[in-house]
Amino acid sequence: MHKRGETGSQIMFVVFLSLLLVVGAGIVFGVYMFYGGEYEFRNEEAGALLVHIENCLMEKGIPLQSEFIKTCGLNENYVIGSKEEIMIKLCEIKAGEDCFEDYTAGTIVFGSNFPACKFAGRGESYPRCKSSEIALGNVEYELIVGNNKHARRILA
Amino acid sequence: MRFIKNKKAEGSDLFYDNAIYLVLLGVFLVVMVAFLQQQRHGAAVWEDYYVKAIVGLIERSEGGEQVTINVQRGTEVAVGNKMEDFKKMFVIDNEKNEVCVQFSVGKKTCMSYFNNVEILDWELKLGRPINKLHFRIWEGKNA
Repeated sequence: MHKRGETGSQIMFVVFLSLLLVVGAGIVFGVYMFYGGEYEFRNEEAGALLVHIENCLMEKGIPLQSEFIKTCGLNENYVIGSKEEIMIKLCEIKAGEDCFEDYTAGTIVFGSNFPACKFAGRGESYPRCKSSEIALGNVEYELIVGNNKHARRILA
Repeated sequence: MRFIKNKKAEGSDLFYDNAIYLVLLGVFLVVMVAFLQQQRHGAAVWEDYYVKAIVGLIERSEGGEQVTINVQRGTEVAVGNKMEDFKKMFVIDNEKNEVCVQFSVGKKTCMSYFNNVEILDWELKLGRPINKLHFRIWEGKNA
């Protein structure tokens, strides 16, 4: 009789199938990680908003907090209704004060989580921020814009 | 006593022993490639891309610009996902300052823009020779 040791072959079949499953799971996971993530746009949008506000302040001076949105032609719902997704802060540069960290500083302030700007590279959930220094009159100001806004996928 | 090996039988045995593995491997590769292609051409990916491209253009405008965007690829994805109504593919909401893009039935991707501008003459022009989205940005909302 020619015995072929079929049990060994059957075990190898299961091993092969398991290998395919593991490799397949890895490929599926990798593809979901790559294509599942959205197109990172927060930096560009923060930069565009920074430039927009800079131009506004240069042309029109510093408005009151209550008139800032209308004066600079911003969408009120975008800034105020965004639940901390959009942050704007204008601080006078003073020795010993950090516009990012100091909660009491700020001529114009929308939002509060400015210290999170410094953690941008450490996680997806932290906002992306841009800042610049502008001189208005004889005073130097620091302008910070933070953006943690994402596109929304909703039912049509 | 038999010392002569039947080599031909051994060769065909080898093939039939491994045929099942080759078939499984082939099926696996086909399934993986099909999955990858489906993800690459998925509606969500392209919706996200186009909505952010349009919002980026609006946010960088200073008013008075006339914009034309090549949306051929997006419309192809939408048609491939059984979207028949071209008017629903790119929608602007001037009240909410929001752009929505829909390339599949049932879900759409929306994003708002920060500047208080009015979008006029919003139109998707088909063919000629590619599909294009036209619109005009007007600062008049601030007045």
